[in-house]
Amino acid sequence: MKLTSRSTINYLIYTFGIFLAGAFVFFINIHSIINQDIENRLQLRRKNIEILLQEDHSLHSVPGEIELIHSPGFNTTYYADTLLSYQQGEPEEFLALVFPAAINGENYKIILYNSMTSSHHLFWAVGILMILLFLLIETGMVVIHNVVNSGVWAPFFRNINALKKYQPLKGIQLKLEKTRTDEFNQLNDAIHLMAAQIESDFRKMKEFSEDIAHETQTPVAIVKSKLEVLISKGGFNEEQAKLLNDAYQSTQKLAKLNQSLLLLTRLETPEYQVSSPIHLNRILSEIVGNFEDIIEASGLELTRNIEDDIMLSIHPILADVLFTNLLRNSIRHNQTNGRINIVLSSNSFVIENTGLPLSVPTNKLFDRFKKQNIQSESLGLGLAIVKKICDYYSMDISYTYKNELHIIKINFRKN
Amino acid sequence: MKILIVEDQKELSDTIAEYLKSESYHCERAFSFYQASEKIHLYEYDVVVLDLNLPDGDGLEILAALKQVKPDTGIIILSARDTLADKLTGLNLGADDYLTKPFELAELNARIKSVIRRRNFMGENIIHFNEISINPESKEVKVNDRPVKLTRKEFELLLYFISNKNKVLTKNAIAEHLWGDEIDLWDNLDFIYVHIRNLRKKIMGLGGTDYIKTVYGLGYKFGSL
Repeated sequence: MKLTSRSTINYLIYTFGIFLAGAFVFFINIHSIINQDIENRLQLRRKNIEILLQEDHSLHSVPGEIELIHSPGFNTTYYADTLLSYQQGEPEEFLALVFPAAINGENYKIILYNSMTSSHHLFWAVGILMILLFLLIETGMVVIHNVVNSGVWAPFFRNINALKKYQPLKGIQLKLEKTRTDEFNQLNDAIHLMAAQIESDFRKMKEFSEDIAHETQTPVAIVKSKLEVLISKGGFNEEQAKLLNDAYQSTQKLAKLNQSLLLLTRLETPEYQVSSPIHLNRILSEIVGNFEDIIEASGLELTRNIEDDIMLSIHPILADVLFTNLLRNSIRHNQTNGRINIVLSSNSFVIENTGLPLSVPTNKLFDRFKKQNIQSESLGLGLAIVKKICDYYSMDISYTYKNELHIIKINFRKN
Repeated sequence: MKILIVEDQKELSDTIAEYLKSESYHCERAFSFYQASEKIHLYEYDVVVLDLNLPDGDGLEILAALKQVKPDTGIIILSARDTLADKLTGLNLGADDYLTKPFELAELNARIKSVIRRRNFMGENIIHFNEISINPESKEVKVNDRPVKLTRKEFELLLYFISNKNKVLTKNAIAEHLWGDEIDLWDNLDFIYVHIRNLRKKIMGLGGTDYIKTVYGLGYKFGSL
């Protein structure tokens, strides 16, 4: 529930409760005051009558409604509500005071009447006024609350949007709007601090992994080249040859791993920002041409539909890496007498290949080091690199397995 | 042939020199921008292998200087894999070839030979190995003076073998030479064997000797030793 709604409803409940209780108390009080007042008046008249009777005056000049009933033996005093009607009009409510009196030695019941109508009118008028007042207060409060608050909260919501768009990885600064509300500014400051910390930590981590990759590059290159020199001399027996080869293969793997990790971490640097488009179709054709004999040697059939003049703003090395990784995968994860189909159009690149279904769950397909075949020599980084490149250029990449075909599609423009 | 190796990583520099030694080149080394600068101004080299990432200066400046003072020198630049800008600049400034690190030594060797050939305009530029002759420009190959038709990859393979003759070449090195860096790690490089087998057949078909020896567990060696 929104904050404004929540506080509005709380206020409404509270004020309504107060109003109800207050109205209740108020009405009861007014009612009793009015009643008391009328009763007092009736008592006053009674006193007046009793004095008059004592002084043996007649009752003719007594103001107000009065009724005399000859009732021998009547001896109580009480109030009663009655309805009386005049000649014309509705019956009206009256309050009656009934008391005994002696007139000329005879017992009489005297009833004094006082009209309640005006007090009723007063009662209801005040009541309606109170209700109106209450409604006015409540609507006013709700309206003002919402209007004022929307003004107060607007910069807060703008800041929320800014936060949603914030990506520490892209190096765009987080700029939160300064507001006129202290609490929001406090929050802004805390968030800015946190964002700065995140960015600094992230930068340090990136530098660290870059440094590691750089530092390991040299010793790895040295081991690799020393092995190469050793191998080139030849003259080993079988056992030595195997040992050498195993060591060499592992250093190759290490070197490639290093290289790939370097590529992954450096994808955000300006090095790869490209302003001019390149001929994607030429790069793809070249790579496909390069792999043709391997494809043939693997017993696979290749079909392609590469349109001309497909221009895209992408770094040529990254395009090379992208296509090579995908093509290599499609050869590697194929089956005997399988086939590969490639389609390049202005909107997308699609590569399909026959092959057994994946053992890796689809949502983990583009993760690092997830391999279809644990035994294989691949690093498991190929698709992770492909995905990273696609993300870098805001391209959409998807994988499906349909009709026993692995299908990878890259949309050049994210929708 | 005099070769200058400009590379600040001493170990790597040593290894390169070691590998090239058996080719009977005379190798000199420079470990910094300053040293390289000095050497190129004082001496003549046939080929300079130039690492662009020098600690005390920009390798591209050495390149520019070489072009100015010793324009006949062949230049091969070494650069980190993803710095395309450097690569292009280097080539635009007049480098003959480039290699990205990490590279196979056999590959560097082959490139050096290629640069030397291209710059050596004296006489016919034909490579002879016993009964095999190769014209690198026209891509003509003859065995016992009879032309043999080779596919592009077979030609590259033969040239690579001869450039690195009598050295054991790993399958990785051969694969990288024929298919480029991205060949990466393959589960089995047996498709190389197809080309080797075809090359053998064609050479032997014209009466040539089979110089391609399979070195168990490691790769292949081309030579008569």
